Amino acid sequence: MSLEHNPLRTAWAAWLPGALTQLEAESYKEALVGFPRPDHPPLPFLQAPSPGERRIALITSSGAYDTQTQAPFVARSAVGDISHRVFPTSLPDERLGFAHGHYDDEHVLADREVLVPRRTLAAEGAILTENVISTMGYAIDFPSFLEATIPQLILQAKNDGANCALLVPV
Amino acid sequence: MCHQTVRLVADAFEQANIPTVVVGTMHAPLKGLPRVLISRYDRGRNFGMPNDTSEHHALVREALSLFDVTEPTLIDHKERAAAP
Repeated sequence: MSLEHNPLRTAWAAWLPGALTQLEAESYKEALVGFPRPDHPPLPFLQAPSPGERRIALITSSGAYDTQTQAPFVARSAVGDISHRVFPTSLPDERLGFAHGHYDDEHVLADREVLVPRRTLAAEGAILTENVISTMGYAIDFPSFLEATIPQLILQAKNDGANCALLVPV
Repeated sequence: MCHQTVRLVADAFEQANIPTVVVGTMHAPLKGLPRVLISRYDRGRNFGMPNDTSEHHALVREALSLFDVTEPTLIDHKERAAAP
């Protein structure tokens, strides 16, 4: 079996060794000089389903996880964490933890609705799918995030019956 | 970085025929996406301050309204706030 050549991974692998010391020192501005970014594809405009037909996947990059059943994201890693978590939309607030770093989580710990507005969306008539999909936005390994993580997020959303998605980056 | 990774997710969802709305706090990384709402708040509290229920509802309503648009739409509250 041969691995498909991935120019982004090649560029990323060449960039990483020189940036790692600065990433570990949290000198992100310096570290990210020359960070290889993928091109964004032109996106044809998709019409969303009508309100009654919408099944919305709520996707957060806040590092949210279920504190009783899931491991936290690895917030201290210099290259971040490309894994993801899936938890019930109905998960009680007191079980919803956040492992991310890189932002002040004081507000979301005081009120989850400021980042993961499950109750507000429902009160406004939105029909959410049964699970929230969660990532940690600090994920430096773009090639792996693109190749391994994102397909799982799409599969999860589709399996949950989503036909549109609300994304909330931190 | 967080907005950039979510941008990758939004690109991929759109390409998978799943329309997206993104509610962020920074415009530049989200430029070119079809439905974007930039909150006036700082990162970590995109929908407003804790327990400001009326603001949470207002922003959620605005976000949901973006699913109704028929052309690419950006609402940028930071830009509006900075306008003379």
